[in-house]
Amino acid sequence: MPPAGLDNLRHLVVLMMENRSFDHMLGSLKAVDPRIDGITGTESNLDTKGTKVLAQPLADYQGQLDPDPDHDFDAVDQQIFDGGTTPTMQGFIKNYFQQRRDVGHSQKIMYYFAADKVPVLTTLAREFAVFNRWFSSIPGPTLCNRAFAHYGTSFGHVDMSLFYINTKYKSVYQRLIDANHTSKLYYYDQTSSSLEVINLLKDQPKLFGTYEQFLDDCKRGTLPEYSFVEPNYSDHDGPDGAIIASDQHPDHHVAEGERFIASIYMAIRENPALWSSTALLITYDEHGGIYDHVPPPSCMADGFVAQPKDTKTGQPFLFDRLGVRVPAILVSPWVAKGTVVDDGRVFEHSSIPNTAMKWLLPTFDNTQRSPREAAAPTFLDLLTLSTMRTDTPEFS
Amino acid sequence: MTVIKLVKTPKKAFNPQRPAGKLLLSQIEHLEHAVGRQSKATKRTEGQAARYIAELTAELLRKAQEPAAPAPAPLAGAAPAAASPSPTVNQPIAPRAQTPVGTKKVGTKHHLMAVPKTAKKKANMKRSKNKSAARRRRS
Repeated sequence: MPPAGLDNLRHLVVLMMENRSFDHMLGSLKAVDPRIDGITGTESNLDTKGTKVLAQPLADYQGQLDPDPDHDFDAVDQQIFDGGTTPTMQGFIKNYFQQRRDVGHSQKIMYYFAADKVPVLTTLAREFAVFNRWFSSIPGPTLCNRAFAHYGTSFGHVDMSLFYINTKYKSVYQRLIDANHTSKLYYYDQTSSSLEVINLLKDQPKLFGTYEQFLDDCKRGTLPEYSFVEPNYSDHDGPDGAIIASDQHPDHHVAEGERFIASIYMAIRENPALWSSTALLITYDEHGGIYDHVPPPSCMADGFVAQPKDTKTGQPFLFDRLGVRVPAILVSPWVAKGTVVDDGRVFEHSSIPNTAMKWLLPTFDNTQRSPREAAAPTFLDLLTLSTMRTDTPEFS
Repeated sequence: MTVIKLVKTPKKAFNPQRPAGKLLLSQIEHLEHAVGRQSKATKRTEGQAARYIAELTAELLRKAQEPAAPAPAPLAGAAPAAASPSPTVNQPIAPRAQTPVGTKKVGTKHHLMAVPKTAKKKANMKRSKNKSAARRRRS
């Protein structure tokens, strides 16, 4: 018999933020819950002068990570491998040094947030389920990583280049719609727009909505079965004045991202019928060049090869290892308080479409999606409670 | 019930004058391609990029209302591997203790080898040179 939470599930919502590593956002939680694989206080990197620099809880909301830390494939390669062939996670400072050639500044890549500076994310992590092993799909930048959440593959891309997609596999949204399920991508507004699925925006505008529509759909109980929410990617003027970017991409203000996460959570929570029937996954597309101490594991190759001209490392990439670890939290009143997912499973962004598919289209033909997606672990088994919780937090 | 107080974002966090990052520039490139505009590599502030993105998105949505036009041509990019992905089976992921870290392999799928140190050094030197050149160009 499925857990009661899964039985009651009607909506899955995914919120994907930008460019922060697990240790950077949640590493401090190790001190309050040793099961969470964060910072112990001994994690370090050598700087370019050979000085050992410890990870420290000195991260600030804005101003420290300017310029934006490099997270192109070759830069992440250096961060993980530090010039060798085994992943030591020792190349973060050396890589960041190359951008400003300022030793002191390069050390800031090791900073992480004290838990009370990011109360929304750390509260949700402790109140619901936090994943110790959720990695970005590729050791590279935003668009190819986000593609794994939409398509279960990046079609061989490791960079920000265009990929005009339906060459091989349909997006999870299209698959669901084709099978008479409901699905929507909510971007913040027309000025922030959608990121990597612009061909879908052109061909299937009905698949899209805005943040305002998301709030309205939550209020009216008209949320689709599967939704993907994009934050605001830019500081821009809106009809009512300045709108601050909420994606947490360096050097955007992290507190605004916290407020955005809280607004998505509260929009669901404030509709009792929706709250009792919804699971919300909050994750980040990739680490943004910021330090994490866990070496990314190997993974199933997805059948594509990125060529040396694209990886810029002089070597091809077979998509057979993951990128750097990112925060991931599953929120639902059916998730036991203080769940730490540390059961040997290795999650990555392909787990998102696979979870939606296993839930809504369990008999879908696996030859019509990427082998990586079909093999990715799913996460709805974490809705284990037989009685819905009534002790969940609020944000104001 | 716990009520958590949100941190207020200061007004000074708003800075549309900061140079637009790679993310917004890539987004512009994608939108330009989708609406069929010639892509121009232009330096923009974040505010300018955002306004242009709004304009392109509006155009894209307007075009979406029109009768179907031919899809944009695929652009050059990474090619699929010679062999298509193997038929999929749900393979259980090995327990973490047994999950090997992703050591770097190089070469083709059929010929994997360790990276020779000297080759790696050369690649690093080249990369560092390229980055220095790029920095010089930027400045």
